[in-house]
Amino acid sequence: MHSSLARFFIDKAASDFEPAGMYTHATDAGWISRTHRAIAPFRLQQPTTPSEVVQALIESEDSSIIAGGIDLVRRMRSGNSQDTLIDLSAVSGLREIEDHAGFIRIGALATHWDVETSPLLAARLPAFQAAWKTIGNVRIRMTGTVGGNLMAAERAYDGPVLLGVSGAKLVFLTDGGEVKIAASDGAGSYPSRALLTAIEIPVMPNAQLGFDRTLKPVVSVAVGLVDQDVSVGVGCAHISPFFWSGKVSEVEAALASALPEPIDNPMGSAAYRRRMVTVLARRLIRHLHEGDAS
Amino acid sequence: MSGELAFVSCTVNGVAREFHVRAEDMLIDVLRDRLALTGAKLSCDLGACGACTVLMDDKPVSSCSTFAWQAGGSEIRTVEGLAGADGTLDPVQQAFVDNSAFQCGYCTPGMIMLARALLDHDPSPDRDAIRAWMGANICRCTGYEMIIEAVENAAAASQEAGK
Ligand SMILES: Cc1cc2nc3c(=O)[nH]c(=O)nc-3n(C[C@H](O)[C@H](O)[C@H](O)COP(=O)(O)OP(=O)(O)OC[C@H]3O[C@@H](n4cnc5c(N)ncnc54)[C@H](O)[C@@H]3O)c2cc1C
Ligand code: FES
Ligand code: FES
Repeated sequence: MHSSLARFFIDKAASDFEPAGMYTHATDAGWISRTHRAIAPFRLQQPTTPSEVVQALIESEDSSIIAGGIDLVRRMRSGNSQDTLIDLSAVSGLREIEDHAGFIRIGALATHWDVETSPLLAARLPAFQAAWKTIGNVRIRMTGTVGGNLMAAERAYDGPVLLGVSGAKLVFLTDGGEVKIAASDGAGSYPSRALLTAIEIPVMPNAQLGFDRTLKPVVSVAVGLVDQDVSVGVGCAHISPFFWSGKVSEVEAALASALPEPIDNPMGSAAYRRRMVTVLARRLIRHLHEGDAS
Repeated sequence: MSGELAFVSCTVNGVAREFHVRAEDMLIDVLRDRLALTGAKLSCDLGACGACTVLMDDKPVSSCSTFAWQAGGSEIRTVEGLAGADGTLDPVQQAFVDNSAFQCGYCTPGMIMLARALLDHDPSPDRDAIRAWMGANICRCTGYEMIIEAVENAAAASQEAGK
């Protein structure tokens, strides 16, 4: 359990892990591990329309939506039990990637692979598509969904920062109807007991996007640029992503004063994370200005 | 808390299968314990290493992190189904043998299924595409070079055979 990968999971989801005991599994050889066999029984619901999903969420307080299940299964294996899982696979109309006037709409059930292989995104939001391709690996990308990546609300995930600096809006269906939230408002502002149905990303001719994830899981930085207006998103360094927007000329001073104190742990000190946020943001902006988007 | 039985109907290596599972049963356990298909191996149990990779409608999935009911209606392929009825190995399997692309062999069924998915998707990937795709699974023994070469050779052999 102490490979670097396992540490990565433990670090980014420390709060999910309960003390050893109830959800550990002892093998004959004496090893103790967390195992999927410790997942507690649950009921399964398979609604076919978005409103049935919302109804099911409201009927049981202790229910969760399951899309690809990658994240949810990990949490359940770690002891997070659910009375009911609401499977989205029979709900139609949630996976399309469509062109609208001024924005692209990505259904919440679109997989990372759908984003990566969409001709529409290649034509209209190529930098966004290129950045999204860096998520995980092909096994994860073919099953994991855009909605699951956002709703998992993990500080190390790339979706929230990329969408935040792209000016995206998240479209939820709630008991009271449709609600739209700016992605940069963060998970704290998502409505509760709601279904994320889609993400709307504005398409602007002069918008640029840069992303640096080379220092994950210590820090990741995404930058959205429209002429001299910049939006900076910081992942991994805090409990939830941090966003700042303003003028390019103000970035360094603003990050120095407005960035909350980063996480301080053996993987990366607060001082190091703080310094790297500024270094990466400055470098990304320079590359974008020089026309090198990577 | 109440558990629930789900009815799953799917094909496994081309054979129609139907069974009842508990909602919390994982695909890997159904394959290994109920269908005696022990090729898929459990290792990290986190969706990270890929030792448990099987193909679900041509898509490589971690069977350790896929509930059995999620396979309902799909075509599952495991390493046991790759060789022909007469025992002729799949080009990917043959290339793994020819290139000694394994040592302990624990990652191998997952690696082979991952490679099969790649070649189904793109019959002639270049080396960079192979490296990027095969990077999804972890091997602690080989250092990957022989695996990459095996996939290159399997692609070449399939192209040759198809001519
Ligand atoms: C080995 C590995 C590597 C990874 N690497 C990366 C990486 O590099 N970058 C990165 O960003 N991520 C990475 N991930 C995370 C991965 O991208 C997410 O786990 C995945 O996108 C989750 O999608 P899902 O559909 O499986 O979510 P699920 O597990 O199905 O759901 C996740 C959460 O969201 C909720 N939910 C899902 N859909 C909706 C909806 N439509 N409305 C409301 N709530 C919903 C669920 O209730 C659950 O709480 C990695 C994961 C693994 C295992
Ligand atoms: S055992 Fe399933 S991914 Fe490692
Ligand atoms: S051959 Fe041993 S892990 Fe790959």
